[in-house]
Amino acid sequence: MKLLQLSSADLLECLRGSGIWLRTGPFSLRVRSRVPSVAAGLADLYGQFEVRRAHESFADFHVSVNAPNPLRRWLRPQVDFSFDGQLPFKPLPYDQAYPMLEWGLNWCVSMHAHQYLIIHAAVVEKNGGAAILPAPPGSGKSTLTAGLVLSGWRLLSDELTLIDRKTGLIHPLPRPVSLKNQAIPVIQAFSREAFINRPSHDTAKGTVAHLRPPKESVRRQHEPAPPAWVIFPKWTAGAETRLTPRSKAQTFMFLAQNAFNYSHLGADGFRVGTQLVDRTACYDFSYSRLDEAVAAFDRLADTPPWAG
Amino acid sequence: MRFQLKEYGAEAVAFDTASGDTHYLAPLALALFQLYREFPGLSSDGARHMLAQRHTIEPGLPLATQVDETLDGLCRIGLIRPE
Amino acid sequence: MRETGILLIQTLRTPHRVARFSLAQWDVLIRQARQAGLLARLYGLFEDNELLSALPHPVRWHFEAAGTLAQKQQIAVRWEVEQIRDALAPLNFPLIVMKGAAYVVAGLPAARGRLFNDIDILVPRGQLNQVEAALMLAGWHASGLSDYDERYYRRWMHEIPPMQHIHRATVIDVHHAILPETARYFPDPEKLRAAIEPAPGLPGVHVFSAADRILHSATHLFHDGELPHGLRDLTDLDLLLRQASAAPGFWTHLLARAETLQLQRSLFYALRYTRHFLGTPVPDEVTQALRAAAPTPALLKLMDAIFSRALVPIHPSCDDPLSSLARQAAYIRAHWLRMPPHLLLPHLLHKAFASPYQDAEARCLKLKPYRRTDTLPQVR
Repeated sequence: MKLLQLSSADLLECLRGSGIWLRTGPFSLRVRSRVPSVAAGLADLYGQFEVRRAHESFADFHVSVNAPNPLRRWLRPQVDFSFDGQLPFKPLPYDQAYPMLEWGLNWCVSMHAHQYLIIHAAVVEKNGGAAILPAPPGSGKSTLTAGLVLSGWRLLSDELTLIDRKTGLIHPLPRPVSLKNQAIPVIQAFSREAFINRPSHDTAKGTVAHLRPPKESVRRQHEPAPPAWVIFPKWTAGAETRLTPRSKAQTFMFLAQNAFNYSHLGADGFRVGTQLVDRTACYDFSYSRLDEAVAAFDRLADTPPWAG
Repeated sequence: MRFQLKEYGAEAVAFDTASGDTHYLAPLALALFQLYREFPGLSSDGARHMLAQRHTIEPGLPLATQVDETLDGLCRIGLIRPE
Repeated sequence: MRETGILLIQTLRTPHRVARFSLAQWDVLIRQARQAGLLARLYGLFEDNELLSALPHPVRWHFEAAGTLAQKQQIAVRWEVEQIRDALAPLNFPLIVMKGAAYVVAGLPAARGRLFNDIDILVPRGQLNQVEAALMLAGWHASGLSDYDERYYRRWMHEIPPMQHIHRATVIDVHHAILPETARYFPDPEKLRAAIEPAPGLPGVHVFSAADRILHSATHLFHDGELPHGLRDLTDLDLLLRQASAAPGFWTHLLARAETLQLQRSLFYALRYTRHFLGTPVPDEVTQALRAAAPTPALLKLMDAIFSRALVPIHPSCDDPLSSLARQAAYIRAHWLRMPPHLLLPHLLHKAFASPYQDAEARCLKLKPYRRTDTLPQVR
């Protein structure tokens, strides 16, 4: 059953009661929350994901987003993210409850899922090859990711690239794409198909909203993909669209430094990381126009050996 | 083997299985490391001489200081044993 | 005691139970084990008992991932001990490593599947200042404690606060004794030092003798500790006891040693609770011999009520209405045993009103897995 098949009354009741069981990529979740914006966010963005209404017996991550103290409601209301009773973060303003759930879910995966080498990067796929997009904040990675998935690329993940240590394949986790500040109107204008939920303001990253993942990406969330490219995007006003080859050794170092759990994996992290860089073409990518950027990526995906 | 090395053209990355550290070796460092693997007891003068023989070095490069510094670095991380 | 109903404890006692577990039971077991820091240890237990094939597919990765982390931490601990040894070498005394790090350097079964917060070392009291200076030179600094906590360490406990490495974020706890001066009993560090053994393959590094390791673990848990990892420490004790008791004459030696070091009461509790929770085989003669060290029946009843709750994982599935109280009681008791009364009350008051995030962050500092990515020196 998909989440959109639940009535909003049912969804609310589940969230406020024993929780809703959801499957996202390789992970099952049990989510509880009495905060209305969390229910709204799930209803808006997770419609295509598999849920189970009856009390499902096993979940990888038990999480909740709730106000810490009901008496504070009228002062400066806050929310806590809880992972099985633990509070890994300080509370955030009540308005940020939904993004907090997303950040919390990312935390759960990056802290625990050491069956993968987890790189802080977006990853998308076309014609059977996955393009990994690592980038420091402010490089326009999320805008580019959103643009690509709205133009026929499959969303594998917008934040956490999961590389299976045994197979080297990338496992999808196609949760909503987070967009910040200017990216929000840019993406809204880019495609009519884009559904972006209600923004939260004044977060540590500015204004934040999430883009609903394409139906097809969610449908194929159990299909891993081989990595083909590692592309470092950088948006600069007025820049020409350009792909330049990049040192593999330096790419490896960047990935190791920007993986959540590289150091937890010991020698195996080194092995998986170097094998990744071995089998991919590594580039720097500069751009200023999203449509041109998408076209450049399409050309890459259409070039043998990747032509579908 | 304490170190695992992976070469990419003129550069390399190395993993230290004892400390868990990962290192990047720029072209000069890799060239010196390979030299020392062949000739473990090489002096730094000897290293400079062989480098000049085997590779095209940019004219005007302060080779002596760079070689010394790089050798220091390689010793510090344990890739080369100091004499 | 009620804790026998807890899935994690049942599984530790009788691993084969899991062959009949439902997914719902696996769900609870994993959550309890994670909270208790025992996921990797359980994995080792399943492996030893040929139960890996009994793990249903959805649960496997939780154990394997924990196992990966534990394996990596062993390498990191060993490396860290070598760095500490090198830093303190100029001071020319045998470096003694204690608790978890000792299990690793001595290659004991108790090292397997264990996660580490920090490294505990024992140094001569007269050289505390030099030790602190040498460690600072090598990159360790007093970690982010509040001023109050730092004074607590230095002035009342005569200890250096935990030191954290500036690049590697690893933490060292420097001790000169295994109990504070203000405690009721005095396990003489000189006696401990006289019985140390070298760590194989690590010249300059030493660990306590088998009996002393057990007594130290027992003391830490039942006299001194704040019990955040009570059950894990209990499993350490169980593993240490099982291995050491294979040696002939071990129990007699252990009892004698407990008397010499004035640690019979802690040993009494240790054997009582490992036997009860984990089924550790303890000969009846030994239990008999320790009767003299037992508390009064009334006090024993109270301790049972406290420890049966305080030693279980801090998890909703393990709580009963008295759990929180029991944990507080254990905490107070630990401090009671450490500090004279006129210091105890102000200290506890301070702790009660300090921000919970101050504590959580301090804990996170110590619990941070050893990171390597901050130290990627560029060799040019």
